[in-house]
Amino acid sequence: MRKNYIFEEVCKTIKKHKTRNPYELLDAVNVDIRESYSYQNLKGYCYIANRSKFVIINGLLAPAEKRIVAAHEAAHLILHRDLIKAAPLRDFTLYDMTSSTEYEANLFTADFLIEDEEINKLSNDDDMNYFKMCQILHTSPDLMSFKLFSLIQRGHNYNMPLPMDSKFLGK
Amino acid sequence: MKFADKLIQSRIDAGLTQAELAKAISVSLRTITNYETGNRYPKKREVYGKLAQVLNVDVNYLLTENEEFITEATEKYGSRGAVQAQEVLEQARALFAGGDLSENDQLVFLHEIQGLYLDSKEHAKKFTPKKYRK
Repeated sequence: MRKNYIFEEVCKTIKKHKTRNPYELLDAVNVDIRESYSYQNLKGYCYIANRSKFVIINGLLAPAEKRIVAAHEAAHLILHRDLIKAAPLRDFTLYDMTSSTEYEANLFTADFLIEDEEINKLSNDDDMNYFKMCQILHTSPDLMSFKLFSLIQRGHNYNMPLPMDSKFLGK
Repeated sequence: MKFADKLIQSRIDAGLTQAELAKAISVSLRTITNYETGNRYPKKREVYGKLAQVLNVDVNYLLTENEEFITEATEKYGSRGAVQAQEVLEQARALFAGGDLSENDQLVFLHEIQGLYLDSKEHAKKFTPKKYRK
């Protein structure tokens, strides 16, 4: 498989829909976005039935986290459509994760939400540390490690302070 | 809702005691008690029919468990609706078998997914050719 296929997919998506906002992206691909306030720890899931696409997000999450969940589910809908259709639910909450699909979705999310440029700019700042950077970009440190991994894969020179964990949304 | 709960509910709604119900469908009082505690289910299909008649409810309502959803799907969308609804529930259960979701979340999820399914059916109407529309 091509090495940066996820990144290419992200570029294609952004170019096509002209947005980096996950909610706008979901709108653009005709997804019914809903919030649910009754879940204790399920963060969200996506579901396809009878040609209708749904993304449910836990409404009790912080806005920044909701954004990540929305992008993550959008990634599933774009990358794993056939899988969701074949078995609409199984493995597709953020909880029951199989490694490769979650890995792809998280990589997509990271590339979609965070711009290369921003990282480049912030990392040139001397009194910047990893966690401050995450704060400024409204992301979680876990997601950031996916982004850095993607940048390193594409030949940028960064080091990774945190290991990648496909299950970070499950925490 | 379980068969037992449905039976109790319908019996009370019909204003009958267990003894009266037993007599009406010619089984013993003990049998009715067993049905209502959930220890036993009627062995013969006829019994469901009789119960439904006496209690003035739909047979399918008594026959299916926890699945007003399936009844609703069947009513609205016929046998294919029933099959799909069954699938939805089975998939949801398969998901829970993974065991990561808390009890509360499972219930909410199960409820929500049924709503989503019915909504998706509603959306899908626009794909039905005119001659098949009711």
